[in-house]
Amino acid sequence: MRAFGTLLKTELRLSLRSIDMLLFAVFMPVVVLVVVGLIYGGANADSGMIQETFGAFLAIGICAVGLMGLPLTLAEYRHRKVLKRLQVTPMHPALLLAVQLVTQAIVCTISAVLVVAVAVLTFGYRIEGSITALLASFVLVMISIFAIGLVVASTARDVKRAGMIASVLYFPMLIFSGTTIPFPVFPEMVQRAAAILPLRHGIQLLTAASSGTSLASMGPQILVLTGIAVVGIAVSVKTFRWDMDSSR
Amino acid sequence: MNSDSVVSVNGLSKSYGRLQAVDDLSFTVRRGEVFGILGPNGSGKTTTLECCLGTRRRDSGHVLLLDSDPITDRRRLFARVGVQFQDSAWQPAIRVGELCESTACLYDPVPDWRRLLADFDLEKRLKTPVESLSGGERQKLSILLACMHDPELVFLDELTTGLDPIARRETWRFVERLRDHGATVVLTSHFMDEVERLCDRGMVIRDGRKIAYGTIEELRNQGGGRSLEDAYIQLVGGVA
Repeated sequence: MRAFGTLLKTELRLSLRSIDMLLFAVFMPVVVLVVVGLIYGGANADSGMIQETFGAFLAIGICAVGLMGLPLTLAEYRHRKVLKRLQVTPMHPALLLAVQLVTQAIVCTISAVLVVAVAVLTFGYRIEGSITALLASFVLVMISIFAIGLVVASTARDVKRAGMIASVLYFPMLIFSGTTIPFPVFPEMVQRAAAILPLRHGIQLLTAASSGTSLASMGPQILVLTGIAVVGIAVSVKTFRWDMDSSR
Repeated sequence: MNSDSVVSVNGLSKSYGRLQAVDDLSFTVRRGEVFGILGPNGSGKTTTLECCLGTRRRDSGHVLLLDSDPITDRRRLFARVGVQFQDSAWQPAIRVGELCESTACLYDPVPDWRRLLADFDLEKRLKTPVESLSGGERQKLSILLACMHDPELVFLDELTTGLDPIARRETWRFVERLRDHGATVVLTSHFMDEVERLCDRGMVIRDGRKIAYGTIEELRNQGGGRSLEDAYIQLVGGVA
Protein backbone atom coordinates (compact mmCIF):
# COMPACT_ATOMS: atom_id res chain seq x y z
CA MET A 1 0.00 0.00 0.00
CA ARG A 2 2.90 2.32 0.85
CA ALA A 3 4.57 1.45 -2.46
CA PHE A 4 1.29 2.06 -4.26
CA GLY A 5 1.02 5.56 -2.77
CA THR A 6 4.58 6.54 -3.65
CA LEU A 7 4.33 5.19 -7.19
CA LEU A 8 0.96 6.86 -7.71
CA LYS A 9 2.34 10.21 -6.58
CA THR A 10 5.26 9.96 -9.04
CA GLU A 11 3.20 8.75 -11.99
CA LEU A 12 0.56 11.40 -11.41
CA ARG A 13 3.21 14.12 -11.40
CA LEU A 14 4.73 12.74 -14.59
CA SER A 15 1.36 12.52 -16.23
CA LEU A 16 0.45 16.12 -15.41
CA ARG A 17 3.92 17.22 -16.51
CA SER A 18 3.19 15.97 -20.01
CA ILE A 19 1.64 18.68 -22.18
CA ASP A 20 0.02 16.20 -24.62
CA MET A 21 -2.03 14.70 -21.88
CA LEU A 22 -3.27 18.01 -20.56
CA LEU A 23 -4.10 19.14 -24.07
CA PHE A 24 -6.01 16.06 -25.19
CA ALA A 25 -7.54 14.89 -21.95
CA VAL A 26 -8.21 18.05 -19.99
CA PHE A 27 -8.46 21.05 -22.30
CA MET A 28 -9.94 19.47 -25.41
CA PRO A 29 -13.19 18.29 -23.75
CA VAL A 30 -13.72 21.78 -22.36
CA VAL A 31 -12.99 23.42 -25.70
CA VAL A 32 -15.41 21.11 -27.51
CA LEU A 33 -18.04 21.79 -24.88
CA VAL A 34 -17.64 25.54 -25.27
CA VAL A 35 -17.73 25.37 -29.07
CA VAL A 36 -20.80 23.14 -29.18
CA GLY A 37 -22.43 25.27 -26.51
CA LEU A 38 -21.87 28.46 -28.48
CA ILE A 39 -22.97 26.98 -31.82
CA TYR A 40 -26.13 25.32 -30.62
CA GLY A 41 -27.21 27.33 -27.67
CA GLY A 42 -25.29 30.37 -26.77
CA ALA A 43 -25.05 31.45 -23.22
CA ASN A 44 -28.57 32.79 -23.14
CA ALA A 45 -30.40 29.99 -24.93
CA ASP A 46 -31.70 26.93 -23.15
CA SER A 47 -29.00 24.34 -22.74
CA GLY A 48 -30.89 21.74 -24.76
CA MET A 49 -28.05 20.58 -26.97
CA ILE A 50 -25.66 20.29 -24.08
CA GLN A 51 -28.30 18.45 -22.14
CA GLU A 52 -28.78 15.97 -24.97
CA THR A 53 -25.14 15.25 -25.61
CA PHE A 54 -23.64 15.81 -22.18
CA GLY A 55 -22.31 12.25 -22.00
CA ALA A 56 -20.23 12.92 -25.08
CA PHE A 57 -18.24 15.69 -23.42
CA LEU A 58 -17.33 13.41 -20.55
CA ALA A 59 -16.40 10.70 -23.04
CA ILE A 60 -13.82 12.83 -24.87
CA GLY A 61 -11.62 12.85 -21.79
CA ILE A 62 -12.16 9.16 -21.09
CA CYS A 63 -11.24 8.38 -24.69
CA ALA A 64 -8.09 10.49 -24.76
CA VAL A 65 -6.85 9.03 -21.49
CA GLY A 66 -7.95 5.43 -22.03
CA LEU A 67 -7.14 4.97 -25.70
CA MET A 68 -4.11 7.23 -25.98
CA GLY A 69 -2.61 8.13 -22.61
CA LEU A 70 -2.77 4.72 -20.98
CA PRO A 71 -1.53 2.48 -23.82
CA LEU A 72 1.08 4.96 -25.02
CA THR A 73 2.51 5.45 -21.53
CA LEU A 74 2.86 1.71 -20.98
CA ALA A 75 4.22 1.10 -24.48
CA GLU A 76 6.76 3.86 -24.01
CA TYR A 77 7.84 2.53 -20.62
CA ARG A 78 8.34 -0.85 -22.22
CA HIS A 79 10.19 0.62 -25.18
CA ARG A 80 12.50 2.68 -22.97
CA LYS A 81 13.16 -0.43 -20.85
CA VAL A 82 11.65 1.12 -17.76
CA LEU A 83 9.60 -2.04 -17.32
CA LYS A 84 12.67 -4.19 -17.83
CA ARG A 85 14.42 -2.33 -15.02
CA LEU A 86 11.37 -2.98 -12.84
CA GLN A 87 11.40 -6.63 -13.81
CA VAL A 88 14.63 -7.02 -11.81
CA THR A 89 13.04 -5.53 -8.69
CA PRO A 90 10.35 -7.06 -6.43
CA MET A 91 7.65 -5.06 -8.31
CA HIS A 92 4.46 -7.06 -8.95
CA PRO A 93 2.99 -6.63 -12.46
CA ALA A 94 -0.47 -6.11 -10.95
CA LEU A 95 0.89 -3.22 -8.87
CA LEU A 96 2.34 -1.63 -11.98
CA LEU A 97 -0.93 -1.88 -13.91
CA ALA A 98 -2.99 -0.72 -10.93
CA VAL A 99 -0.83 2.38 -10.48
CA GLN A 100 -1.24 3.27 -14.16
CA LEU A 101 -4.99 2.69 -14.08
CA VAL A 102 -5.51 4.86 -11.01
CA THR A 103 -3.19 7.60 -12.31
CA GLN A 104 -5.11 7.80 -15.57
CA ALA A 105 -8.44 7.59 -13.75
CA ILE A 106 -7.48 10.65 -11.73
CA VAL A 107 -6.56 12.60 -14.88
CA CYS A 108 -9.89 11.52 -16.35
CA THR A 109 -11.74 12.70 -13.26
CA ILE A 110 -10.02 16.09 -13.33
CA SER A 111 -11.18 16.44 -16.93
CA ALA A 112 -14.76 15.45 -16.03
CA VAL A 113 -14.95 17.83 -13.07
CA LEU A 114 -13.77 20.65 -15.30
CA VAL A 115 -16.36 19.80 -17.97
CA VAL A 116 -19.17 19.75 -15.42
CA ALA A 117 -17.98 23.01 -13.88
CA VAL A 118 -17.79 24.83 -17.21
CA ALA A 119 -21.16 23.45 -18.34
CA VAL A 120 -22.83 24.49 -15.12
CA LEU A 121 -21.19 27.90 -14.77
CA THR A 122 -21.18 28.97 -18.42
CA PHE A 123 -24.19 27.30 -19.95
CA GLY A 124 -26.47 26.93 -16.98
CA TYR A 125 -26.37 23.17 -17.31
CA ARG A 126 -27.98 21.11 -14.53
CA ILE A 127 -27.45 17.41 -13.92
CA GLU A 128 -31.00 16.11 -13.99
CA GLY A 129 -30.32 12.49 -13.12
CA SER A 130 -29.01 11.17 -9.84
CA ILE A 131 -25.39 11.99 -9.13
CA THR A 132 -24.78 8.43 -7.95
CA ALA A 133 -26.06 6.97 -11.23
CA LEU A 134 -23.90 9.39 -13.19
CA LEU A 135 -20.82 8.57 -11.11
CA ALA A 136 -21.41 4.84 -11.45
CA SER A 137 -21.87 5.19 -15.20
CA PHE A 138 -18.74 7.30 -15.47
CA VAL A 139 -16.67 4.69 -13.62
CA LEU A 140 -18.06 1.85 -15.73
CA VAL A 141 -17.38 3.63 -19.03
CA MET A 142 -13.92 4.59 -17.83
CA ILE A 143 -12.96 1.07 -16.78
CA SER A 144 -14.29 -0.37 -20.00
CA ILE A 145 -12.43 2.09 -22.27
CA PHE A 146 -9.30 1.70 -20.10
CA ALA A 147 -9.54 -2.07 -20.55
CA ILE A 148 -9.38 -1.59 -24.33
CA GLY A 149 -6.33 0.63 -23.84
CA LEU A 150 -4.67 -2.00 -21.63
CA VAL A 151 -5.14 -4.65 -24.31
CA VAL A 152 -3.44 -2.35 -26.82
CA ALA A 153 -0.58 -1.78 -24.36
CA SER A 154 -0.12 -5.47 -23.66
CA THR A 155 -0.29 -6.73 -27.22
CA ALA A 156 1.30 -4.04 -29.43
CA ARG A 157 4.85 -5.11 -30.27
CA ASP A 158 6.37 -1.64 -30.09
CA VAL A 159 5.64 2.00 -29.47
CA LYS A 160 4.96 2.74 -33.13
CA ARG A 161 2.37 -0.01 -33.42
CA ALA A 162 0.80 0.96 -30.13
CA GLY A 163 0.46 4.51 -31.45
CA MET A 164 -1.07 3.28 -34.67
CA ILE A 165 -3.60 1.00 -33.01
CA ALA A 166 -4.44 3.69 -30.48
CA SER A 167 -5.12 6.20 -33.27
CA VAL A 168 -7.20 3.72 -35.24
CA LEU A 169 -9.36 3.22 -32.15
CA TYR A 170 -9.32 6.78 -30.89
CA PHE A 171 -10.19 8.92 -33.89
CA PRO A 172 -13.14 6.96 -35.32
CA MET A 173 -14.60 6.58 -31.84
CA LEU A 174 -14.09 10.26 -31.19
CA ILE A 175 -15.72 11.30 -34.45
CA PHE A 176 -18.48 8.75 -34.92
CA SER A 177 -19.55 8.15 -31.35
CA GLY A 178 -20.91 11.65 -31.04
CA THR A 179 -18.18 13.27 -29.03
CA THR A 180 -16.85 16.09 -31.16
CA ILE A 181 -19.71 16.04 -33.67
CA PRO A 182 -23.12 15.56 -32.04
CA PHE A 183 -24.49 12.14 -32.93
CA PRO A 184 -27.92 13.29 -34.16
CA VAL A 185 -26.20 15.23 -36.97
CA PHE A 186 -25.04 12.03 -38.71
CA PRO A 187 -27.14 10.33 -41.43
CA GLU A 188 -29.03 7.31 -40.19
CA MET A 189 -26.71 4.83 -41.89
CA VAL A 190 -23.64 6.22 -40.14
CA GLN A 191 -25.55 6.23 -36.88
CA ARG A 192 -26.35 2.57 -37.29
CA ALA A 193 -22.75 1.65 -38.13
CA ALA A 194 -21.42 3.71 -35.23
CA ALA A 195 -23.77 2.00 -32.82
CA ILE A 196 -21.34 -0.91 -32.56
CA LEU A 197 -18.54 1.30 -31.23
CA PRO A 198 -18.00 0.66 -27.51
CA LEU A 199 -17.79 4.36 -26.83
CA ARG A 200 -21.24 4.88 -28.35
CA HIS A 201 -22.66 2.65 -25.61
CA GLY A 202 -20.69 4.60 -23.08
CA ILE A 203 -22.05 7.91 -24.29
CA GLN A 204 -25.62 6.58 -24.31
CA LEU A 205 -25.19 5.43 -20.74
CA LEU A 206 -23.59 8.70 -19.60
CA THR A 207 -26.22 10.80 -21.34
CA ALA A 208 -29.04 8.71 -19.89
CA ALA A 209 -27.57 9.00 -16.41
CA SER A 210 -27.00 12.74 -16.67
CA SER A 211 -30.46 13.46 -18.06
CA GLY A 212 -32.27 11.37 -15.49
CA THR A 213 -33.41 8.57 -17.79
CA SER A 214 -33.85 5.37 -15.81
CA LEU A 215 -30.78 3.18 -16.14
CA ALA A 216 -33.11 0.18 -16.28
CA SER A 217 -33.50 0.88 -20.00
CA MET A 218 -29.72 0.80 -20.41
CA GLY A 219 -29.34 -2.94 -19.79
CA PRO A 220 -27.68 -3.78 -23.13
CA GLN A 221 -25.23 -0.89 -22.82
CA ILE A 222 -24.27 -1.82 -19.27
CA LEU A 223 -23.83 -5.45 -20.32
CA VAL A 224 -21.61 -4.63 -23.31
CA LEU A 225 -19.44 -2.22 -21.30
CA THR A 226 -19.05 -4.66 -18.42
CA GLY A 227 -18.18 -7.43 -20.86
CA ILE A 228 -15.50 -5.31 -22.51
CA ALA A 229 -14.06 -4.38 -19.11
CA VAL A 230 -13.85 -7.98 -17.86
CA VAL A 231 -12.46 -9.46 -21.08
CA GLY A 232 -10.06 -6.56 -21.64
CA ILE A 233 -8.54 -6.68 -18.18
CA ALA A 234 -8.26 -10.47 -18.26
CA VAL A 235 -6.54 -10.42 -21.66
CA SER A 236 -4.15 -7.64 -20.69
CA VAL A 237 -3.10 -9.30 -17.44
CA LYS A 238 -2.64 -12.62 -19.23
CA THR A 239 -0.53 -11.12 -22.02
CA PHE A 240 1.45 -8.66 -19.91
CA ARG A 241 5.14 -8.49 -20.80
CA TRP A 242 7.97 -6.55 -19.23
CA ASP A 243 9.93 -6.52 -22.44
CA MET A 244 8.91 -7.43 -25.97
CA ASP A 245 12.41 -8.75 -26.78
CA SER A 246 12.44 -11.18 -23.89
CA SER A 247 10.55 -13.94 -25.69
CA ARG A 248 12.66 -13.58 -28.78
CA MET B 1 24.08 -27.06 -4.16
CA ASN B 2 27.25 -25.60 -2.78
CA SER B 3 26.18 -22.66 -0.61
CA ASP B 4 29.46 -20.96 -1.48
CA SER B 5 28.36 -20.44 -5.09
CA VAL B 6 25.93 -17.56 -5.54
CA VAL B 7 25.61 -17.90 -9.31
CA SER B 8 25.57 -21.31 -10.87
CA VAL B 9 25.08 -21.71 -14.61
CA ASN B 10 25.06 -25.09 -16.31
CA GLY B 11 24.84 -25.80 -20.03
CA LEU B 12 23.20 -22.45 -20.84
CA SER B 13 22.24 -22.03 -24.51
CA LYS B 14 20.36 -19.32 -26.32
CA SER B 15 19.85 -18.69 -30.01
CA TYR B 16 18.17 -15.93 -31.98
CA GLY B 17 16.91 -17.63 -35.11
CA ARG B 18 20.02 -19.16 -36.69
CA LEU B 19 22.45 -17.18 -34.59
CA GLN B 20 23.76 -19.16 -31.62
CA ALA B 21 24.28 -16.31 -29.15
CA VAL B 22 25.21 -18.47 -26.16
CA ASP B 23 26.41 -22.02 -26.59
CA ASP B 24 26.50 -24.55 -23.74
CA LEU B 25 27.98 -22.16 -21.20
CA SER B 26 28.75 -23.24 -17.64
CA PHE B 27 30.32 -21.19 -14.85
CA THR B 28 30.11 -20.52 -11.15
CA VAL B 29 30.48 -17.31 -9.18
CA ARG B 30 31.56 -17.62 -5.54
CA ARG B 31 30.31 -15.57 -2.65
CA GLY B 32 32.18 -12.31 -2.14
CA GLU B 33 34.12 -12.25 -5.38
CA VAL B 34 34.03 -9.89 -8.35
CA PHE B 35 33.52 -11.96 -11.47
CA GLY B 36 34.06 -10.60 -14.98
CA ILE B 37 32.38 -11.80 -18.16
CA LEU B 38 34.72 -10.66 -20.90
CA GLY B 39 34.50 -10.71 -24.64
CA PRO B 40 34.33 -8.51 -27.72
CA ASN B 41 31.14 -6.77 -28.82
CA GLY B 42 28.57 -9.29 -29.99
CA SER B 43 30.25 -12.20 -28.20
CA GLY B 44 27.20 -12.92 -26.06
CA LYS B 45 28.08 -11.16 -22.79
CA THR B 46 24.81 -9.32 -22.43
CA THR B 47 22.73 -12.30 -23.58
CA THR B 48 24.48 -14.43 -20.95
CA LEU B 49 23.76 -11.87 -18.28
CA GLU B 50 20.12 -11.53 -19.30
CA CYS B 51 19.57 -15.28 -19.38
CA CYS B 52 21.01 -15.41 -15.86
CA LEU B 53 18.54 -12.74 -14.76
CA GLY B 54 15.55 -14.25 -16.52
CA THR B 55 14.91 -11.09 -18.55
CA ARG B 56 15.57 -13.32 -21.54
CA ARG B 57 14.28 -16.85 -21.76
CA ARG B 58 17.06 -19.41 -22.12
CA ASP B 59 16.60 -22.22 -24.66
CA SER B 60 18.21 -24.78 -22.38
CA GLY B 61 20.44 -25.12 -19.35
CA HIS B 62 20.13 -24.39 -15.65
CA VAL B 63 20.57 -21.10 -13.86
CA LEU B 64 20.49 -20.58 -10.10
CA LEU B 65 21.04 -17.25 -8.38
CA LEU B 66 21.33 -17.52 -4.58
CA ASP B 67 19.90 -21.04 -5.01
CA SER B 68 16.74 -19.69 -6.65
CA ASP B 69 15.36 -19.78 -10.18
CA PRO B 70 15.32 -16.20 -11.53
CA ILE B 71 12.08 -16.69 -13.45
CA THR B 72 9.85 -18.62 -11.05
CA ASP B 73 11.27 -16.96 -7.94
CA ARG B 74 11.56 -13.49 -9.42
CA ARG B 75 10.06 -11.25 -6.73
CA ARG B 76 11.73 -12.92 -3.74
CA LEU B 77 15.06 -13.12 -5.51
CA PHE B 78 15.27 -9.52 -6.68
CA ALA B 79 14.76 -8.25 -3.16
CA ARG B 80 18.34 -9.57 -2.65
CA VAL B 81 19.83 -8.98 -6.10
CA GLY B 82 20.66 -5.66 -7.79
CA VAL B 83 20.98 -5.11 -11.52
CA GLN B 84 22.34 -2.28 -13.59
CA PHE B 85 21.51 -2.56 -17.28
CA GLN B 86 23.43 -0.91 -20.06
CA ASP B 87 20.51 0.95 -21.59
CA SER B 88 18.67 3.95 -20.19
CA ALA B 89 15.61 3.03 -18.19
CA TRP B 90 13.63 5.85 -16.70
CA GLN B 91 10.37 7.60 -17.37
CA PRO B 92 10.60 10.69 -19.59
CA ALA B 93 10.91 13.94 -17.58
CA ILE B 94 11.40 12.12 -14.26
CA ARG B 95 13.65 13.87 -11.73
CA VAL B 96 16.48 12.29 -9.79
CA GLY B 97 14.63 12.38 -6.46
CA GLU B 98 11.43 10.99 -7.94
CA LEU B 99 13.28 8.12 -9.60
CA CYS B 100 15.08 7.27 -6.35
CA GLU B 101 11.94 7.47 -4.25
CA SER B 102 9.83 5.38 -6.60
CA THR B 103 12.55 2.73 -6.79
CA ALA B 104 13.18 2.71 -3.04
CA CYS B 105 9.50 2.13 -2.24
CA LEU B 106 9.66 -1.29 -3.93
CA TYR B 107 11.92 -2.66 -1.20
CA ASP B 108 11.22 -3.64 2.36
CA PRO B 109 12.55 -1.95 4.42
CA VAL B 110 12.66 1.18 2.28
CA PRO B 111 16.33 2.11 1.75
CA ASP B 112 17.58 5.54 2.84
CA TRP B 113 18.05 6.88 -0.68
CA ARG B 114 18.69 10.46 0.45
CA ARG B 115 21.77 9.38 2.37
CA LEU B 116 22.94 7.43 -0.67
CA LEU B 117 22.46 10.46 -2.94
CA ALA B 118 24.76 12.37 -0.59
CA ASP B 119 27.26 9.49 -0.56
CA PHE B 120 27.29 9.49 -4.35
CA ASP B 121 27.70 13.27 -4.39
CA LEU B 122 24.39 13.70 -6.21
CA GLU B 123 22.29 15.47 -3.57
CA LYS B 124 22.50 18.74 -5.50
CA ARG B 125 20.79 16.92 -8.36
CA LEU B 126 17.69 16.00 -6.38
CA LYS B 127 15.35 18.03 -8.60
CA THR B 128 17.29 17.68 -11.86
CA PRO B 129 15.62 15.74 -14.68
CA VAL B 130 17.56 12.49 -15.12
CA GLU B 131 18.06 13.17 -18.83
CA SER B 132 19.96 16.39 -18.03
CA LEU B 133 22.63 14.60 -15.96
CA SER B 134 26.11 14.10 -17.37
CA GLY B 135 27.09 10.60 -18.48
CA GLY B 136 29.13 10.04 -15.33
CA GLU B 137 26.37 11.24 -13.04
CA ARG B 138 23.82 9.07 -14.79
CA GLN B 139 26.07 6.05 -14.39
CA LYS B 140 26.49 6.77 -10.70
CA LEU B 141 22.75 7.12 -10.37
CA SER B 142 22.09 3.82 -12.07
CA ILE B 143 24.57 2.08 -9.76
CA LEU B 144 22.85 3.75 -6.81
CA LEU B 145 19.46 2.51 -8.04
CA ALA B 146 20.82 -1.02 -8.48
CA CYS B 147 22.43 -1.12 -5.06
CA MET B 148 20.21 0.96 -2.78
CA HIS B 149 18.72 -2.13 -1.08
CA ASP B 150 22.13 -3.58 -0.10
CA PRO B 151 21.91 -6.56 -2.44
CA GLU B 152 23.99 -9.68 -1.77
CA LEU B 153 24.56 -10.08 -5.48
CA VAL B 154 24.99 -7.30 -8.04
CA PHE B 155 25.06 -7.47 -11.85
CA LEU B 156 26.66 -4.61 -13.76
CA ASP B 157 26.49 -4.57 -17.54
CA GLU B 158 29.30 -2.59 -19.27
CA LEU B 159 29.38 -0.13 -16.45
CA THR B 160 32.05 2.21 -17.77
CA THR B 161 31.40 2.16 -21.52
CA GLY B 162 31.25 5.76 -22.74
CA LEU B 163 32.61 7.36 -19.55
CA ASP B 164 35.56 9.73 -19.38
CA PRO B 165 38.66 8.56 -17.43
CA ILE B 166 37.76 10.42 -14.25
CA ALA B 167 34.22 9.09 -14.18
CA ARG B 168 35.58 5.59 -14.87
CA ARG B 169 37.90 5.73 -11.86
CA GLU B 170 35.11 7.01 -9.70
CA THR B 171 32.82 4.20 -10.87
CA TRP B 172 35.50 1.63 -10.08
CA ARG B 173 35.70 2.90 -6.54
CA PHE B 174 31.98 2.28 -6.11
CA VAL B 175 32.42 -1.28 -7.28
CA GLU B 176 35.27 -1.77 -4.82
CA ARG B 177 33.10 -0.35 -2.09
CA LEU B 178 30.34 -2.81 -2.95
CA ARG B 179 32.84 -5.65 -2.72
CA ASP B 180 34.20 -4.34 0.58
CA HIS B 181 30.65 -4.40 1.93
CA GLY B 182 30.57 -8.12 1.16
CA ALA B 183 28.49 -8.11 -2.03
CA THR B 184 29.24 -10.51 -4.85
CA VAL B 185 29.60 -8.67 -8.16
CA VAL B 186 29.18 -9.97 -11.70
CA LEU B 187 30.20 -7.52 -14.39
CA THR B 188 30.62 -7.55 -18.15
CA SER B 189 33.39 -5.57 -19.74
CA HIS B 190 35.74 -5.36 -22.66
CA PHE B 191 38.26 -3.15 -20.91
CA MET B 192 41.13 -5.22 -19.56
CA ASP B 193 42.51 -2.53 -17.25
CA GLU B 194 39.11 -2.47 -15.57
CA VAL B 195 38.99 -6.23 -15.25
CA GLU B 196 42.53 -6.43 -13.84
CA ARG B 197 41.76 -3.78 -11.28
CA LEU B 198 38.34 -5.03 -10.18
CA CYS B 199 37.90 -8.74 -10.82
CA ASP B 200 39.05 -11.76 -8.84
CA ARG B 201 38.01 -14.25 -11.47
CA GLY B 202 36.39 -14.22 -14.86
CA MET B 203 35.71 -15.91 -18.13
CA VAL B 204 36.34 -14.93 -21.70
CA ILE B 205 33.66 -15.76 -24.24
CA ARG B 206 33.67 -15.60 -28.01
CA ASP B 207 30.69 -16.44 -30.22
CA GLY B 208 28.81 -17.45 -27.09
CA ARG B 209 31.39 -20.05 -26.11
CA LYS B 210 33.66 -20.07 -23.10
CA ILE B 211 37.29 -19.92 -24.24
CA ALA B 212 39.02 -19.15 -20.94
CA TYR B 213 37.92 -19.34 -17.31
CA GLY B 214 39.57 -18.84 -13.95
CA THR B 215 41.42 -16.29 -11.82
CA ILE B 216 42.82 -13.23 -13.57
CA GLU B 217 46.26 -14.85 -13.27
CA GLU B 218 44.95 -18.01 -14.93
CA LEU B 219 43.28 -16.03 -17.73
CA ARG B 220 46.60 -14.30 -18.35
CA ASN B 221 48.39 -17.65 -18.55
CA GLN B 222 45.73 -19.26 -20.72
CA GLY B 223 46.25 -16.50 -23.26
CA GLY B 224 50.02 -16.84 -22.93
CA GLY B 225 50.39 -13.08 -22.67
CA ARG B 226 52.40 -10.88 -20.40
CA SER B 227 49.47 -8.59 -19.69
CA LEU B 228 45.83 -9.50 -19.49
CA GLU B 229 45.23 -7.37 -22.56
CA ASP B 230 47.79 -9.34 -24.62
CA ALA B 231 46.27 -12.57 -23.37
CA TYR B 232 42.76 -11.40 -24.17
CA ILE B 233 43.67 -10.39 -27.72
CA GLN B 234 45.39 -13.74 -28.17
CA LEU B 235 42.29 -15.56 -26.88
CA VAL B 236 39.63 -13.77 -28.88
CA GLY B 237 41.75 -14.00 -32.00
CA GLY B 238 42.37 -10.35 -32.77
CA VAL B 239 45.50 -8.89 -34.36
CA ALA B 240 47.88 -7.51 -31.72
